[in-house]
Amino acid sequence: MKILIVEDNDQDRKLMLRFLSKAGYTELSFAAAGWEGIECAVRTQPGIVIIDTILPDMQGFEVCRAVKQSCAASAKIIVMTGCIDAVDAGKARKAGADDYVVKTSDFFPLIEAVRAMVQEKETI
Amino acid sequence: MEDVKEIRDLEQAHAEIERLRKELADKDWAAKKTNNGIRLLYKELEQKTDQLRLKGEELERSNQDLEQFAYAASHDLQSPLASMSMHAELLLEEKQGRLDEESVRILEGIVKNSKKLIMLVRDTLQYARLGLKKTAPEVVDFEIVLRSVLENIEGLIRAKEADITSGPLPSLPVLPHMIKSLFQNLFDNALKYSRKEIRPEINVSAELAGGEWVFSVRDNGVGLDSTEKIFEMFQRAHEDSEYPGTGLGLALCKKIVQIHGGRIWAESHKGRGTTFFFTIPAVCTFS
Repeated sequence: MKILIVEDNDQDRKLMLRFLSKAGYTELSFAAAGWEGIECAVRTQPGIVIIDTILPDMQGFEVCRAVKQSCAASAKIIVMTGCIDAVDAGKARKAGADDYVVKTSDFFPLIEAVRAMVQEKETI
Repeated sequence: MEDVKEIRDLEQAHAEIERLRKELADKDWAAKKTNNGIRLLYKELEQKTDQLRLKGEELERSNQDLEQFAYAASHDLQSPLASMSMHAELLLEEKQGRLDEESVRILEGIVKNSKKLIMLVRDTLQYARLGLKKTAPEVVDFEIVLRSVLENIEGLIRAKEADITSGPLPSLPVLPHMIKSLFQNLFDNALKYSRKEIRPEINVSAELAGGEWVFSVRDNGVGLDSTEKIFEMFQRAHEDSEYPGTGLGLALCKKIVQIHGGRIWAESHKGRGTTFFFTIPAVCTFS
């Protein structure tokens, strides 16, 4: 399954690449900013989009909303945050996010969320 | 007419209920996701705390190893060195008049260098042991500390006919043995690098500035071209033949001041003297 990661932090991108490919997800593409992410989603039609809440050009929620309103709307969206907050979780939900997970140093919650989404998509 | 309005009202109420139900479900979702995230972060925090505790224990053990090494080295290195130096001196004394010039020169070289090595080992050990001694800070009167240091180097002061003055000094929470060592090193330096043609004068003063005490030790000695590297280990500002030393005294001073949470620096004018400054926080910042 194609996974698009919208994340501006270089170090985090490297870690996600390492942990996701170790977990067996190898069709990964990356975008370092919000607009780039939206364009990439429209172009490549990924199955899952992972979006960081804080991006250099816009908030992750806006990217989430834009993707859900585009021709890539069938993608499952995971909003990921380093700074967990119930108000932000509500915003993510309103923007159409399918999951909201916290960033930990081993990215375990993210891998679990991806696994759950892949399973859900495959059973449909 | 009435019926139509009633039905419309009912429909609106239903829509409102549906909207609220959706909102409630979203809020519930957000709360669950947040709680789950917090739980995971907490777990990670616990793991990291455990790792940190283990690292701390490991560090404690390696500190103990280092301390033991320092003690072992102090005995194992110092005593053969002292013995070597004494043997060479003995040879010089006992065979006085019976040795040719070259042999005397070689033996004197052995004595001089082994003494230098003894000093180097002693200073290195003192440096290595700093911070390993686990004593608690106590409030000490710096005037008393100063007096005790001056008593220690009384002989040297008299030999140099030095004039040492001081302004009022505060009482601060410090590790007293270290502060003594700090002053002793600064005085040793000031006396060693004094100008031959004038009487050495050293002045100690302290003033409170922005939550810390700034101490100064001013001398009228030979001064330095540059104070840039003088606090680094084994850095010598003067020729060894002119002023013998190990290049560890000021590194030791720096370490002592850093342990107390302060800074150390110097201002110097070649041929006019040097002033060393160091700070000690007014409130104890270490344990």
